Amino acid sequence: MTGIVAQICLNSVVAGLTVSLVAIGFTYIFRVTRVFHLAHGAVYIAGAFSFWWALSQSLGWVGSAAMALSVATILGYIFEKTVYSPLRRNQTNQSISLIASMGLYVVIVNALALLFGNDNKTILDPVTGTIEIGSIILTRVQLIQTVVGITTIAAFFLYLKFTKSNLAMRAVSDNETISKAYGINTEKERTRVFIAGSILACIAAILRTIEVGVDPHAGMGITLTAAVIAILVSRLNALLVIAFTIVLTLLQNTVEWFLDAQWRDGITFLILLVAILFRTEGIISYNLRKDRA
Amino acid sequence: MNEILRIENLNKSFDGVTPVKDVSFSVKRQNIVLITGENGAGKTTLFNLVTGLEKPTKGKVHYDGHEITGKSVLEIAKHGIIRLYQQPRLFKNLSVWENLVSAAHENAGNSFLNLVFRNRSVRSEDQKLKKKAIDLLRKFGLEELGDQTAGELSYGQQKLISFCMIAMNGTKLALLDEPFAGLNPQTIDRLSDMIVKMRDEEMTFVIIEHNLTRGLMIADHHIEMKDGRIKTLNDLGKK
Amino acid sequence: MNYFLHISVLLEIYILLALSANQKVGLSGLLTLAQAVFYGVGAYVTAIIITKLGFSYWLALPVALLTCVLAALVFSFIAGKVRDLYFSLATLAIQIIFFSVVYNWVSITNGPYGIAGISSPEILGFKINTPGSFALFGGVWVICVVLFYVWFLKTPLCRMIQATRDDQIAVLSLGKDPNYYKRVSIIISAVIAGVAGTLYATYATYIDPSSFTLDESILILSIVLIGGAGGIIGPISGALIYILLPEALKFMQMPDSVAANMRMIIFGLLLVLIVRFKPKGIFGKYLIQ
Repeated sequence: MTGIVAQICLNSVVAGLTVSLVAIGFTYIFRVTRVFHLAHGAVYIAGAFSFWWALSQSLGWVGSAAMALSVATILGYIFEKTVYSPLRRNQTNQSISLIASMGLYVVIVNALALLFGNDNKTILDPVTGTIEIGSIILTRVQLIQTVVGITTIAAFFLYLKFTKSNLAMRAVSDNETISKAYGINTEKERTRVFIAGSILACIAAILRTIEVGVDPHAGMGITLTAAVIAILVSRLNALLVIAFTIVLTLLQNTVEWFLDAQWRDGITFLILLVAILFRTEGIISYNLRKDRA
Repeated sequence: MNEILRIENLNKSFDGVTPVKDVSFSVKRQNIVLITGENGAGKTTLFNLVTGLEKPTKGKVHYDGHEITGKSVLEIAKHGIIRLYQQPRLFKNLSVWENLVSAAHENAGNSFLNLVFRNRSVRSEDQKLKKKAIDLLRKFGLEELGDQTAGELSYGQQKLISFCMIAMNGTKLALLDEPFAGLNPQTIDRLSDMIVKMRDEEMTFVIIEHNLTRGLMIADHHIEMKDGRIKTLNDLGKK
Repeated sequence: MNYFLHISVLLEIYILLALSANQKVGLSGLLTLAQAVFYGVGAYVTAIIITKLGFSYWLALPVALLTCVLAALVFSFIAGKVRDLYFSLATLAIQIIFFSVVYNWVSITNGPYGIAGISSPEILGFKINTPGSFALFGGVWVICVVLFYVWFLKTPLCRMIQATRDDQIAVLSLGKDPNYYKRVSIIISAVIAGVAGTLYATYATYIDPSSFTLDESILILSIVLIGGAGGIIGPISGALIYILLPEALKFMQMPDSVAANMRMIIFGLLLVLIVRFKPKGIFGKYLIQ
């Protein structure tokens, strides 16, 4: 029994690390630009398919990863420039950008299904082998996921540190109008956060693809998990995002193990529902705050 | 009973600050009371306490013989205290007359059961309210706006319509947050005329206003607040 | 001919769903991502009462609608607490929880295997089980709901519902309870979606959870937004576009396998373009902001 518990914990930490790459991107995009970017799932899945396709065309691991990253980045950039940014300028509310992002998601997923079919695609030359630590098994894929995941997160922190982007992002997330007045290039910060988020999502997509392959609908589940995290973590703090993601993944895996795989989403969203209902304030104070802002 | 609002020893404090300290005054029917004071003098908090948006730490608010201290915003509004915010709040996608009818205090047609079981009487009541709304617009010289969509009106027009709405509601007491802010002189003239006219027809006003000259022109009483207390309380002796 | 009638029945069901969603989205300004929940509740309650308890459609119908009303009360509680994006997200959560429950509660819903053998409604001994009679039956429902809206849109209650959508603080300041108007709106919406659910269950005679997913809810919301919210013509034309799109694609000699994805690509693109360039929708009366 302790073996199983330890194994579930290990698997959750490794999987949570990958998911947290998506969640960090989602949270930063949501908090900085106020866009509830469900089409993040489309970026994710487009990255995964590009990687799989490039690999099948024998472009090699590095070449395929590079191709996937470019596709995801360009897609994220196009979404921001052609849809979200104009909507922002028209001062529409957040639900509208949510709907726009659903539209984008539907378009990309169906386009991919049209191109590659609905079935699951696995890579031809998978990484195999396991490492045993006592009774716990760590696959080599998991090892790769852990190493790449931690490296990516470290790189993200370095990026924040050296570009001083973090402070500007915080300012924009706090109040875009005032940030603009103080000379922060808010458009640039928005674009940056979309690009950074897309890169993170694409790396996560590659890490998942080498383990379980990819199908056109694989992006929704992971994005919704990331969305739950983005609501729960109300501050721009990547470490907090990672911690929450790992805890949530642990919970999901426990539920999956003891109940059924299909309860997983139900429990996740029950948490979201409770969080939403508790974090809110009365309708009046909410609106008055909006008026003063 | 000539007194419509009585405030006794009202206090509000949180986190070590006390925006309202021992405020007591009463408002007579058909009076206009002007409250002035610097920013942070406690005027807005006072309004919030009266309308139930915030709960007082100590003290009592009586309205029309009932104690309303600590009741919810909805209950207090139902009692008949209306607060108008600085931004006019209209139903932007409805026409002006629909705005006015929606503001009416009672309309049987607002209940689903009445609609189903008393459709005919509901319809005639609604027609009467529409007529009343149009009469009201005519009285204030705004009848040409009746069929326009409220969201398309200018800021000044929206403000005037929001005052027609409280007249339509038939409320007894209205609290106004800076009614003259952001308006041009002509609109201010029209608005003060409207307020005086409504006062003469049974309404009572408590007004927060930075435009002192304008405020004093129509006010019957003047309260000056400072640091959460009442500094001076003057009867301007017009009546 | 049968194919044409089949399309008509689908169209009728989607018109009902679109009108029900319009009640929330257009008249109350509540962007819901859970309209398929009411659709599903209507369908499942009907299916369970008919197959497990052996009652007729005419007994299943009121019970199904009553269950929808109860579900609507939960919704209106949420609508009273959260707004805008957070309302949409709360409904999204409810949608996914609903699917999870229906999928896993095997003893009642038969889980992923679905419920089969739902018998058709009967009127005066005449069984409604051919596409033709069903198209007629659905048509009657659509006409009833459309007539209801022709009347309802002019009532004072509907005016107050729209006023609440525009500014609920103003409604509150005038001494009226905004939550009452939201509640009424959500209940009406739930009942109409429930009717669509009972129709679907008895028409298809088989239901499973895959008809009541988040995708379905997104689709229903898109239909309303593309057609345009607030009136009657908008949602109906949205449903028409959605149902007739694949027929048009087939007409252009597109194979079925491609047409299914192509339909969703066009629909998604349309949604993005509408939101971006024509936020009122094609025939909308009210600008969702």
